[in-house]
Amino acid sequence: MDKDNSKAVEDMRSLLHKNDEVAAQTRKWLDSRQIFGINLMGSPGSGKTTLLESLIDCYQGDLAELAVLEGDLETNRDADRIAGKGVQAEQICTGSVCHLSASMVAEALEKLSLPGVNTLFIENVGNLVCPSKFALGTHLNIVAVSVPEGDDKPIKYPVMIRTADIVVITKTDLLPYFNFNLERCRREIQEINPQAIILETAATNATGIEELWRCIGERSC
Amino acid sequence: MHEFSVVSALLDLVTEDARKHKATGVTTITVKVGVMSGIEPELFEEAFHVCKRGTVAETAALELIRQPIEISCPCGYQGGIEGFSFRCPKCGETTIRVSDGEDMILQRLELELPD
Ligand SMILES: Nc1nc2c(ncn2[C@@H]2O[C@H](COP(=O)(O)OP(=O)(O)O)[C@@H](O)[C@H]2O)c(=O)[nH]1
Ligand SMILES: [Mg+2]
Ligand SMILES: [Zn+2]
Repeated sequence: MDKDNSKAVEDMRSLLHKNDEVAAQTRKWLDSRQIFGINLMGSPGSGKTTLLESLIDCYQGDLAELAVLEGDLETNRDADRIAGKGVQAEQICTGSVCHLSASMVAEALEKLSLPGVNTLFIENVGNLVCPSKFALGTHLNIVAVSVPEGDDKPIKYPVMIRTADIVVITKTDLLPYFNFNLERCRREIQEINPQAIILETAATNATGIEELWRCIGERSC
Repeated sequence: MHEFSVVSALLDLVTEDARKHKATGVTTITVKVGVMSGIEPELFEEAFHVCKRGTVAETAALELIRQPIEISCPCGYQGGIEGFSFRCPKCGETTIRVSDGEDMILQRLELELPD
């Protein structure tokens, strides 16, 4: 029942279509260089950068095989922390944007020297909501949820938990000081995302870091 | 507040469609928003009314359709789930296919064509 000068059009594309296209190109690009990409997400202060530092400390290979992109609203501090560990790192400052996008990552990748690199970590902007649907072209999503945030965060932020391949419950050294029901937290993560692997880490004594490396290794081959 | 990024992506798609059909304006935009798409409909609408100014969709109305989670299970079950529990409500299976409710789709556009 179109009027003469009106027309109905079915589009059916995802609103994230353009981002997904760039992410798919990045994925191909990483694959062609045999680089395994990891998107690390979680709230501000959930321990993402510390987790990367621990992963670097426990890495068995040559540190030149690792590269890190750091996403933050402001400052180069996290990239400086990683560089201080001897791993090349580039900072992406998003200004006011609360998540990384595929094009920000594609642009930043050009600044890294990637020959010899086999694992790329991308620390997303600290946020338990916004980054979840913006594909970056990475192969694995890790979501960090820390003990001080409270055990109800997974059930309150199920969309983020759904995107995770691995959920890392960080700062478990602080369990004695917080009212955090580990069993319930694990159960709720499992209900939301039955396929997700759930790990526990404590950066203070590197608990769980080797197991995290093992899980990453299993997914990357 | 990633709703602004998503709305500007929506307006890019709408502008592309309008150009393709040589439209002079857009009257209605229908978007399907999954309950697990990460989009807050109220924020999305607010962002839309701010961002549409100066685009071909300047006077367009936005119609949001909330889409619940839909799954299909090897047991034959097709339908919704209970709360955030991503398992088959009939048989308990967790190896299910989520067929709807996790994305946001530009479904339909009403375009104004020149006389
Ligand atoms: N006790 C304890 N503190 C941690 C742990 N991991 C991180 N932190 C602290 O939590 C704060 C935020 O960590 P950071 O890695 O910068 O978080 P990000 O914002 O997610 O990158 C810092 O003060 C860290 O020292 C942990 O496993 N145990
Ligand atoms: Mg950080
Ligand atoms: Zn079933």
